[in-house]
Amino acid sequence: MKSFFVACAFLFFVTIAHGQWLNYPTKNAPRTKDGKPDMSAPTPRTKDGEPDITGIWLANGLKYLISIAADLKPDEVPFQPWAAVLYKERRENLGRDDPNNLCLPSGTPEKEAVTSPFKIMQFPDEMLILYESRTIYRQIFTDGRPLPKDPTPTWQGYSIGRWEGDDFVVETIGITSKVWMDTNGHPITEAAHVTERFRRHDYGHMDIQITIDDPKAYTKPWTIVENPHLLADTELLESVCEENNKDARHIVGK
Amino acid sequence: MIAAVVFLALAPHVVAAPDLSGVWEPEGLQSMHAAAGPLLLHPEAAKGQDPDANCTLSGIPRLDLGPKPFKILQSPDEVVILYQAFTTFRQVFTDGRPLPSDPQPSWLGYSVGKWDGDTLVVDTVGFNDTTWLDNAGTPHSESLHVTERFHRRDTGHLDIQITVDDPKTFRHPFTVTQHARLAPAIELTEFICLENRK
Repeated sequence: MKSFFVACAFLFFVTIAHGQWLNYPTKNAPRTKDGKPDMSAPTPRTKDGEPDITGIWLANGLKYLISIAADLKPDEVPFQPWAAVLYKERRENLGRDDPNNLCLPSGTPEKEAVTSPFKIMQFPDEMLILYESRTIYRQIFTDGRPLPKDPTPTWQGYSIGRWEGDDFVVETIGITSKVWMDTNGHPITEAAHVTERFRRHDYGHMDIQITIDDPKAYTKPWTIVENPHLLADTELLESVCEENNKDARHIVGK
Repeated sequence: MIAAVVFLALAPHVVAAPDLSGVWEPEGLQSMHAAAGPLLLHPEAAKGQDPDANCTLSGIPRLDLGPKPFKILQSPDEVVILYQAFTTFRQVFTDGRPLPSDPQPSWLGYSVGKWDGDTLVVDTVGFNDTTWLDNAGTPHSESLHVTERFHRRDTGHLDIQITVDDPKTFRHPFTVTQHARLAPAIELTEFICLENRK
């Protein structure tokens, strides 16, 4: 229940914030006759012929932020026994120890499910994601470098990306085990190798297929699909959690 | 032959903007006190605690002053500056849009940029008054207007000429220059302030 309210707080902020921002028309957006962006227009392509996944995107509601496994049945999440126990504890504690409560950031792969917009930008050697939540960024290196051998664990992890057909495939390792994959508290460890496949279906819609391969926490890899939608004619707002974190002392939970 | 000459004469004269991309390490200037101190309208005002201690964001130009590195990524419509400090970013819109007329005060302001020859001129307004301008505690108000002129002197050196214009805080605008050195062997590392607070 607590998770639901935490997630609602995210959504509420996004709703208010968009009313305040200076709107600016998205360059080159396909438009319908009434001038609105045509969300069903075909996927744009870059000069290299690949899909253009740039733009500002937003998760469709709270579903995957509350539970990354929302589309799976409970017994379809292949917990290791200790991870199942931890997950149960986190749920019983009403998400008391969710790092988001204390303004610590969401990590990979929770970040794209957070109900604040994120902006994907493409540069020659990297895909860059700017997140409105926490005004934080993530670099996905596309210059052919391998994943590092023994990375220092971080919230975002270390990401490399490449194209496979029409899929932009991102591999991330070095994620700290402090990350919660959702507000319910699905755990992840530093052993995880997360693969995200970004596939843009049309101008306004994209799938992100996420495979979690974390042998420490799960007995086998498991896959879910998120489906953010495009926000056109807008920009990211700044968002600083610590600015307004007055309620840390009111966190409930056992 | 004549057609070729005519074609060349009529072809648009396109000058590519300089490329400021790279990871840059600020060197030297951390405080603007020497320039700013004598201009303060209210030098007696108490400094208070460094707002960075709350893990809210440093403002501009404090983030440019370092010491942590920053990374510039450049596209035709926008220059993005990634800061290792706070793992935060700034967008400088270079698509010709004007500065917002009545911006909501923010930590990093709202930035637009345009090219003046080889120099990227960035104008930023819309700051809240919570941050320090530098590590020495130089104050500012919401009227702050910062102009940064980024000039890549050569491959390995970036100069940022910073003009601070805040009529509520300083008698008149003043300018300082920060220098930064290209750091081609490093990438920015994640820095989450709340985890590093001591």
